[in-house]
Amino acid sequence: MNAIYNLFRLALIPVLLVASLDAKGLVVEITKGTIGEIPIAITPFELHGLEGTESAEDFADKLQDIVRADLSGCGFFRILSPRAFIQTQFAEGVRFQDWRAINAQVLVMGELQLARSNPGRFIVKFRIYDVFSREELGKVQFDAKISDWRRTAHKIADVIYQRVTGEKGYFDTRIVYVARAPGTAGRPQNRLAIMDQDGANHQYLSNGAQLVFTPRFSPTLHHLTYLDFGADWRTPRVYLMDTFSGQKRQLGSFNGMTLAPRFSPDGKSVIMSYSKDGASNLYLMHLASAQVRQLTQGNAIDVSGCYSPQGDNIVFNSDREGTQQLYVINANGDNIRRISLGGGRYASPVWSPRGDWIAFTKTYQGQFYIGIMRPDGSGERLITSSYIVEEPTWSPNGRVLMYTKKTSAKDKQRLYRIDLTGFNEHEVPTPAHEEALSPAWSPLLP
Amino acid sequence: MKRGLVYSLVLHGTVLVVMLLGPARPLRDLPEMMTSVSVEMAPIEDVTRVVKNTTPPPQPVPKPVQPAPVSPKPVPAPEPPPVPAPPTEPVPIPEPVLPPAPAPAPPVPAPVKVAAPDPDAVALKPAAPAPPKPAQKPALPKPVAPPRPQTKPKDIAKRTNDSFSELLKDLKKKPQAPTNPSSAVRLDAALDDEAAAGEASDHLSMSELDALRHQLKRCWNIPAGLQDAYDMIVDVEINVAPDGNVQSARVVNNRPDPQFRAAAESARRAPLHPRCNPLQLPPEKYAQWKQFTFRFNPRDLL
Repeated sequence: MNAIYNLFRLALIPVLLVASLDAKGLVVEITKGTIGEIPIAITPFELHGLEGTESAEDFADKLQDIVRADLSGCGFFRILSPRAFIQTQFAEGVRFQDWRAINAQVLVMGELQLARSNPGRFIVKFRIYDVFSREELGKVQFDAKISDWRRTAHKIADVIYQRVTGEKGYFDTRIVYVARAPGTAGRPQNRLAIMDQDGANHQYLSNGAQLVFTPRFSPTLHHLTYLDFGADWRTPRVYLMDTFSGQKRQLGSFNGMTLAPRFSPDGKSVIMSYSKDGASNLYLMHLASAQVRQLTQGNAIDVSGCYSPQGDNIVFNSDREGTQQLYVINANGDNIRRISLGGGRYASPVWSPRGDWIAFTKTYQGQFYIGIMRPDGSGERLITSSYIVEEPTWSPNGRVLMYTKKTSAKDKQRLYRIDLTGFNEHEVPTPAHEEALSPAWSPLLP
Repeated sequence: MKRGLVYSLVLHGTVLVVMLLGPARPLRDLPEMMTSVSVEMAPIEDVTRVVKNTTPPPQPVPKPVQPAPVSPKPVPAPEPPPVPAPPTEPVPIPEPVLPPAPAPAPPVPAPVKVAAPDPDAVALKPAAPAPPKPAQKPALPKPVAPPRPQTKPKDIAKRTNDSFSELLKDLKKKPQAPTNPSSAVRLDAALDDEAAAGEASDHLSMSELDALRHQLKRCWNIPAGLQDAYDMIVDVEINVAPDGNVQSARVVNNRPDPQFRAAAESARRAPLHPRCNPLQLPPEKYAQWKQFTFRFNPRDLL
């Protein structure tokens, strides 16, 4: 009896061994996919308080229009038309199969609260759902002044963008640029202009009496720095403007020309080029103490310095080896190394806020290009070209480049933006009668 | 009594140790399915001895066929017919439905047969061009697979492809033995080798896996331009019903940072996407694919 029993047990061992050998372990690696837009459905905001009033509905529509425009313009999302929605009443919750049936992958459902008792303010809440897995991805609420409705709508778009793509958004930002009108007596009128990244809320910051160039935001958004040729149009100087008060002052009292200013990442210093006796070198000026430090030496023309986001390196362009090429230098002035390699001339380098790319303008055989390369110079890719394209600036999330473009000699120069993958180019709306040059993108507004 | 107890304890202990040490672990390594299926190239002589008879009746010729040529796979137009690498492809697959592997094979032979000499290049031209392009759309995972394994010199590939297509046609007919006994009998000898090599039939073959990858490729929306994309490898464990519908998908290697989370969610959406359900996998190997893991690795992009 015992023997049989034991034999039985012995027999079980191989069975069990086989069973565990069969345990799951199949891993199928997928390395290719498609790059396409994510279909997203945004339901009309449910209204609470003041329902049925035309103004409330208009307001809700206006908010939604901005959210839709932001998300569809960035190239990641395909906004599904509300006419296609199957589920329109949400009393019993979300019927995910209805959304799956119209191929939505992300669903945004929101509500808007307006109260007569709280005039001038509104509350908007929304939830983001993943339709396939039926999970709620997030919910957010904003409580804002009605007069800030545009910025709130941009912030809603930023939240959705960030939750779904993992990257910070760029919708609640501003652009400063130079608006050039033909002017009179052969003198074009250059004015500093500022607007929301979608072209709204456009204003002029200068009156055109001075010739201004290359405006740039400080990281704290309190200031702008720009180049002003002064009333005599002769000597360009770097100026600092306080964006709140509008007051401006000259930076430094150099005897020669100062050009191409940019802020350091901490906003406390400005890097610029100072030109004297035919040579131009990079200088760093500490704003509070007005102390100036020279970064590059020599007889070459070194211009367009731009800090890396960590502040440890500076990229600039120089003709020290004969043609205009890109160089990187440590922030303390050591270790100048060349990073651009191709033929042609390189200019206006800008370091991405993500730190992983440097964008630049390249001219080669008569054609202009905007390209990107890694900070060590590898991976150079030209992403757009035209009769003239130049002066790229990065969105704060390092994904989108804005630049100025002219498609032919007879064309007007206008602002465009494009994704860093080279797709999804759009014109940025600015007043039609003027040209738009030298854009600079602000950080995300707080 | 005591002895019995001792024996019992020892044996139970052994079993426990064996299970804890987890002999299953080695199976988790990728190489298992990356191992090339031992495809026996039947010598031309064998092939000519066989087949060369009928064209499979139903085969909607236009249908599937060459998705292969269409797909970037460089390999030449001729390739398509071969695709069949599938000799191990037992899957019955009903004609009308666009099943991956087998489908392409049958139609192909038809055109090929027409022109005997160097059939591939010539014969395929007429048949291939038209069907492939449109056929590609219906998304036949199959095509992609074959070209890849056969990166050998085109000529050899062509010739063996041709023989493969013949073989395939016959294999396909094999299950239908009752309806076509003569060919079945004739094939037995030549196919014995194939049957032997069919120990691979318990596991998913290279081509079946490639078919699956091709299918998923259309559903995985890659977060392009993501910083450190090479770092974002997402493992998604899925449970599949016998009809191929994915019942659940779960990310097993989640990380807290928002970029990874977004990449993980987009990977998780892929097997749940309507275009990838049901998964095109051979039903008789259900035990192999009822629960497995997809590893989404964006190494091939920006």
